[in-house]
Amino acid sequence: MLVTRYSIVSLRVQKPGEIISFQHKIPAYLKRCTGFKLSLVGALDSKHLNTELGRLSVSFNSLKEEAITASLKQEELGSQDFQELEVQLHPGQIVSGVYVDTMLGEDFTPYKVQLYLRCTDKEGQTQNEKG
Amino acid sequence: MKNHKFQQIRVRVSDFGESVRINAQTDKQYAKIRGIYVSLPDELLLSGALLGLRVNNQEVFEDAHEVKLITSGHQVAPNKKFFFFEEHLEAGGSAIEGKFTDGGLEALSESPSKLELLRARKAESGYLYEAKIYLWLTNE
Repeated sequence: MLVTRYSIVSLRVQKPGEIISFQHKIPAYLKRCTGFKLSLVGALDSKHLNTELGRLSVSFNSLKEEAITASLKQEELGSQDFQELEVQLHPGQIVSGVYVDTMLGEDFTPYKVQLYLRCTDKEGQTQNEKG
Repeated sequence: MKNHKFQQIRVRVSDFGESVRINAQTDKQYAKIRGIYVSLPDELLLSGALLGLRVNNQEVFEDAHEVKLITSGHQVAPNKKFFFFEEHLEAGGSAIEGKFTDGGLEALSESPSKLELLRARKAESGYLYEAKIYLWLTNE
């Protein structure tokens, strides 16, 4: 039976230009990641709409595979779809990444970012693609 | 015998930033939970709102899962609103446990009038709003 789980990496950005590195373990029964979504939790002032807040890069399988580079924007009508990812997970190895804040200093307010990794224990197709 | 049912779970939120525990049971007459849709009385309340969900003690969503990723707005057609589970989730009287967390005052920081409206409702009825979680149950 197919199992799909959403693994969440939460990052809190406290100061302008902050560089946050992280390591994350995905449960060993999950064999493959099929999607990801970088999300701003909550909302910032509307002056930040459609501007880049930061950039993320993520490597899988203990740095052997760099699979995600993405930028974060606050969008009013942004899609909540996951971006496609095709990574076979090696059991027990870690996901590591770096997030870099790119907001200008004078406009900065602390914010929270979440990276969602959609992973499954088998091969499978996603149905959740809304318009 | 009907093959589909939309079971509603109501969550009463009394304060900004509050976390509310959810305990429910799915209708015994349906075999599978096909999808979920979370309805909030105002789209602004989606900002920062979180929903954790467990079915029969199996974690489906972590407590930090944002509601905005499993719901949809008015622009989406009614029969497309649900988030579909990609796996078989047993219904048939399954125990549903969860935690709904309100997004806090920040969610309404740019709309003082809506904030006042919610505060007035709380003064009248004792709670800010109700979140409605719909589970799509099916026998198919």
